[in-house]
Amino acid sequence: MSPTSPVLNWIVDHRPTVSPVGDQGPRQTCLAWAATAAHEQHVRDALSVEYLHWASDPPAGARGTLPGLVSGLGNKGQPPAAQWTYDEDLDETAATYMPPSSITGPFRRSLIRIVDESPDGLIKELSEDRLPIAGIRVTQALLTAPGGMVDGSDAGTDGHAVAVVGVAETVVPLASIPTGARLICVRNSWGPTWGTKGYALVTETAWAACVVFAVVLEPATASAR
Amino acid sequence: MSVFRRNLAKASMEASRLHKRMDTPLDRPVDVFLLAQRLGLWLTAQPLDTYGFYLRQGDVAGIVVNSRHPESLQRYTCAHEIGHHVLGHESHADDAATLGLYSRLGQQELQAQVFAASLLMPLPLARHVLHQVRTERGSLGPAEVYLFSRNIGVSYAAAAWQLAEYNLLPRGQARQLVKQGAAAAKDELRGTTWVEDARADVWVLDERWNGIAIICRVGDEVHLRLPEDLSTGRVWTFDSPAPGDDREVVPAKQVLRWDGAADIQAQPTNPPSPGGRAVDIGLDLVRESHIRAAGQVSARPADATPPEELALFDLNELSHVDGEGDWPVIPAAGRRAMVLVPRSVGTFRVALSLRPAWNPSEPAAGKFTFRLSAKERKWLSGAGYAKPQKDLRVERLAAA
Repeated sequence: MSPTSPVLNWIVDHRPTVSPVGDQGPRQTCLAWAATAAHEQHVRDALSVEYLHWASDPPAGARGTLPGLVSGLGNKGQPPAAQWTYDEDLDETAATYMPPSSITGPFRRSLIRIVDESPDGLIKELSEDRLPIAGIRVTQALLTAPGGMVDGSDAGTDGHAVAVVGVAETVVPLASIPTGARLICVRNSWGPTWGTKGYALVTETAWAACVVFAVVLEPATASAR
Repeated sequence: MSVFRRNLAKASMEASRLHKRMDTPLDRPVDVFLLAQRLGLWLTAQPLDTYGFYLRQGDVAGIVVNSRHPESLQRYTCAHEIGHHVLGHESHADDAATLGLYSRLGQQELQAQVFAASLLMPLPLARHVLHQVRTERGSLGPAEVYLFSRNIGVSYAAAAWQLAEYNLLPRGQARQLVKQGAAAAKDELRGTTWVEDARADVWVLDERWNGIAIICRVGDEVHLRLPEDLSTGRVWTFDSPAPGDDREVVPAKQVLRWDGAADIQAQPTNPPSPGGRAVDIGLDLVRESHIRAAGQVSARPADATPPEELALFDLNELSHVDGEGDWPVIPAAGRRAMVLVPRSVGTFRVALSLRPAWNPSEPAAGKFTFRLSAKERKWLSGAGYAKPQKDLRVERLAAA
């Protein structure tokens, strides 16, 4: 195969319009990062990951869960990123874990809708300018993402959230991947050193094995404090 | 007090007196073989059909223990025979009938048993060890009694009965624990069955034990359980030493590399190093896995029907969130479980770091270190005199 011959045909690719890949560090903030990417797609503005994560509790202990996200996005909303920037070393168990008093909004609110997590379902949402937030189990292939590719049939363990930003299909066979196979492009929150500049292509087999759910955001009215 | 009870009390008292006389340190397992030698007893091991025996002939006395028995049983037998010596008994051969059941024993045997228990588990040492092994459970269960027996150097049954004797464990519970056996207690402690040797002692270290130094035996199982949340991409890896790894790794023949645009190249991977095994440092990693947190989204096969767990994400339910109920948490700390087995005598300073799985050169988000000193099992495995006594005997023969 010639090195200059493209082997992928992008069905849909939102990477050019999403904000730079972030790094959650050792904190359990993946859902806030993925949801923020999806939310920014609607508002076309950088939003505060830290505020959304903080706002996802109450319900008590709900940070990192869909109920927490529903509550955070539906009730408190999400202000611009600059009003409370993310700190990967922040201790969110401290009593002082509160937004700065200088936050003024506007607070962008959204509702959440469960969607079909299959490649077809993801393509449909992406084509309508919505970035699906996917809940997945973590596989060894995802952890290392060598060459920016995630393959295999491992179901994985624990849980993680990523934003789906595109879907491509192969135009030639690649190792065990046949022609016409779709590859799900995910935007992770593990910094730009993971995968290929923070993104990875997940094969259909790997996706079907590890995906748990997908949701999208439907914007609601913004409000100022 | 009856004569019978008075004699048992005397046996226990004699054990305490012996410790005082010998200035025995009571913050570590009693070195019973050393005590025998300091008492001037010949100590030998032989393959026997019995536990062991005590011989007295004039001024010369000695102890023979079964070389095929495990360390804890040899120690107990030795303590029992020391009891016969200290209490002024005549020569005795001891088998399961004399050492196993109190009710069938003659008074001297019972005295020797009480002496042995008091010698190996004096109350100050028992309290010291109990303080070490108390868990969050508070009460004593199978795991705590096992840890007590391991740290004090006696069998599980002997530990349970002595704790009952000190009224630290209800007698009925001690009976139940002895019936279930040490294997069940070790299984509870490590959460799984034995790895290589059912008789190996088990050490379980979690993040609370950062910086600890442990002294174990060659062949013991050291289980590490460190919090690891895969949603952060950080996993625990060894900094030093890199333990030997017996697990078979089948490397991929080629790796696909995506350029970030529309191209993917298949590239060969580097061939595995010869032997595929780290340098033998005397410490092996024999098992490694990630244990997911309770309440996590469960695995399902790729060809399964849509899972019931999706109902937990139903928006009708979510719209009525009130803080109640159990939801699958997307990020939550599972644990990295590793089992290390020391293969040779030595001291290992083990250091692990929590680092990005895709790039271990990035800064660590957490560190865990401990010092592991592996010693030989202190048991009399070969036939003949205990080693220091061989030298002593040669010296005496030369002098004669």
